[in-house]
Amino acid sequence: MGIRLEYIPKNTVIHRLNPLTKIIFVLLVPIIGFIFANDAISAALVSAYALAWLALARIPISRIKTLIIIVLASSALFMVVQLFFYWRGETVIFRFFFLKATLEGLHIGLTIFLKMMVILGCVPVLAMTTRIDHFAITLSKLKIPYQLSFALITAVRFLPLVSDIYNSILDAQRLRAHDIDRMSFLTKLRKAYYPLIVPLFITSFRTADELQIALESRAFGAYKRRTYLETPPRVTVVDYIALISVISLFVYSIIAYRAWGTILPPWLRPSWAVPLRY
Amino acid sequence: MQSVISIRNLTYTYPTGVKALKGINLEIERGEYVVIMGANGAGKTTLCYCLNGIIPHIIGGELQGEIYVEGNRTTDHSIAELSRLVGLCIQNPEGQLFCQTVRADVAFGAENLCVPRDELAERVASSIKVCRLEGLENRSPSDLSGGQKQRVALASILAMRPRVMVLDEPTSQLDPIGTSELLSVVRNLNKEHGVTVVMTEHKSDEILEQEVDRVILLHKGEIVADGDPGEVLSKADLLEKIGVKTPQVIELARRLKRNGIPVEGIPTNINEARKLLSSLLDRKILEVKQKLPPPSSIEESKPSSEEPIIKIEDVYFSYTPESPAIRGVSLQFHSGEFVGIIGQNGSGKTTLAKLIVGLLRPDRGRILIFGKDTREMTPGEICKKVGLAMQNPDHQLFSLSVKEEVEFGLRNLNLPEEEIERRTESALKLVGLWEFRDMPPFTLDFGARRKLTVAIVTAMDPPVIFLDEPTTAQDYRGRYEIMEIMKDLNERHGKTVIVVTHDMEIVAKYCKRVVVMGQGKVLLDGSTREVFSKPEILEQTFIKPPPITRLAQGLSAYGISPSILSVDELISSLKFEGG
Repeated sequence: MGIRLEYIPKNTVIHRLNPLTKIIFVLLVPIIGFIFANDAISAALVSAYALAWLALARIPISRIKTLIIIVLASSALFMVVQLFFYWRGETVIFRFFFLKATLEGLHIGLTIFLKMMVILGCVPVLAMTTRIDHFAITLSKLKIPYQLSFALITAVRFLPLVSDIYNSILDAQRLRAHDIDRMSFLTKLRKAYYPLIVPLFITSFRTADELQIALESRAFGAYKRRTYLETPPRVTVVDYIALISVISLFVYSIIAYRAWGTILPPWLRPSWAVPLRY
Repeated sequence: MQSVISIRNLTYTYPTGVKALKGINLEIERGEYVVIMGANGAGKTTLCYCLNGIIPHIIGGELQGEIYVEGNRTTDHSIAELSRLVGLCIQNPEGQLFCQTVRADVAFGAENLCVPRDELAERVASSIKVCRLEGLENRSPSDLSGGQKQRVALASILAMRPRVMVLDEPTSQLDPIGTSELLSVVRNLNKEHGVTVVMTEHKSDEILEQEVDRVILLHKGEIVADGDPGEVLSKADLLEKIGVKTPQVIELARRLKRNGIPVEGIPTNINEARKLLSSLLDRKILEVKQKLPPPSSIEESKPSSEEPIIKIEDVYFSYTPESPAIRGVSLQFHSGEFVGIIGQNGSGKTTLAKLIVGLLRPDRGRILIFGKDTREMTPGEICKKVGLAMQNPDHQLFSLSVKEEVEFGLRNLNLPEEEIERRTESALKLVGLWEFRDMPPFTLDFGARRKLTVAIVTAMDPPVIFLDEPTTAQDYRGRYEIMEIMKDLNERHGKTVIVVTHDMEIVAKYCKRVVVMGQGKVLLDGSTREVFSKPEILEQTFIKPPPITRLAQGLSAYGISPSILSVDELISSLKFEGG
């Protein structure tokens, strides 16, 4: 199973937003989350803000399951490592053999987890609610060459194709008693992936050649500028509201960060929520 | 007279050194419907690529001679310029769709040509209408069937308003219904809208029914015949030599002539053949022998009392909760059977195959293989009992030599070295690839690669061999070669063979029993004769019996058995005057 962030046709507030609004959202909110929100409470607020957009877009959890698993698994790893090994950790909560779990470590682990939740909220909002052709038109209005935005389209188109190919290769080799799950770690490294990678490369190259032939036959890249049948959703009052909320949050965050090193002022944070220092 | 396409003395060699076209001279006139036929490797695709400049602009190589489209020499114009004149639709429906809605995909080419928006909208709407895609405009192309996808590609090219449409084996990956829908759209384009069509195809029976103006036969890069379809396709000896299938109705007419029956003209479709036969029967030139062949012969569907080797009990399976793929299938397969599984794309055939070999697990119900539940086995264990040869050989070949490729699976089974040697040799000899044992698999042609996958499966020595769609991307000869191997495995080696296919003539020729699937259920299960004599049920899953069977069914008033499966059978059920 791959991470498939494909467009899901729906008619929600988020789907009706102009792609530019969503592009700005995806550019700014992760910056707020990753750079400015430096304590657990602030990061929780920003991730709640991002997840609210996701909720408004009504993206079914099942479609981003893999992404959620990746975020949770890597966060869990961070949490454990930070809990025991954070070098500034002083307040010991409990001991596990010779390891000391510290409150500071717990806080930093939690904060990193919440920062990652911001990404989880942002990426699907752009990728799964914006039609790629609308996205391309918006990019072309921003004077980004069509070839470049098309590279993006092709990547979006090509990845699911490659993931399908990979799955059927995996099936074909399992039928030859090539059982990766039962191999030991070393055997796996030595010979598990060769029978999968070789056909994948060859078939992918072939698919890419075919894609090129089909593209050129459709006069792709014939002219610097092209026309568009579709128009992306118009900019409406909702776009302005959304933009004001994103931009003002961004501006506020810069100011707050310079003052306190995080988004929330000290009097709104419990004493343990000390901003991280890098 | 101005030709749309004019090819003079074209010789082309690929960068790899393969000489694909030799001295081609060809004039195609405005409004013509031309079909190019020939075996795999005859140069059909190469010729298509030459027409819109893919060769030599993308694929280099050495091109001699001249190609003119509407007076423009292809070497002097870019592909983009040529795309206003020649539209190309390729074999694989997946590889030529780029957008997230049907509408956007149809507009894609015309947008690239900078067609103004008002005109664009008009062109897109009319292309969608002509290609019968109304109601699908906002669907994602990835949700469509293969036939629908291919029609989206066609519509997209149509919206570019080229003078000539070039279609390279557009139906090769489609089921019978997808094929006939696509071909009828193409015919309509040509007849009603005056578009010049150049198409390559393998399906000679279908071509004969398409009101094609001209058929060209290619053989090893040369044109060996060019003319009226009825005339060209009745050159049975030539067709046999170059690996193109003779249509059944023409084969029938030829056989009648050979038996001294006066046949005037050549029937080019079932209706004409029926008229011909009924007039011969009316005039008592032909008579029907009685009782041949019997409607349902008992020896073919032997009700076996022994325990089935595969037992499917009320199995349900779905990929997503909204669309169940298998809905309550119960089936039994007995040792030594030769079974065909048929049904339109999406009817659950491949899913069923994957369930049996353990790549998927039933949501409900169970599958027993030699009495053991598939849920308790891994695919690696099941492959010793049921071997599945999947459709695309390129999804599994990775070794440096043909021999190592076969050995790979055997080593995974931890067999002793001498046993591996023995099995590899016998499997490669069986499929006729032993002499190529040291060649890298990727240098083999497609048909040989497909045979190699069969060798891989048979080397594992499973009692049951499952073959998924031997026809995809295979020419007529390739299909029958694979099926002959299956027949050999079934008759001489006692293997149970199950074949999933769209090719009804293959089913009629080889399978003793047929399972018909539709919408995840078993619609019919019986002897091949029984199944093909129920056209009304077959229609539900968009299957038509082979042309010769349909012809016989149209003549049942004369006492001809409606369960005739081959030209041979029809001939032998007839009594000739004096004979």
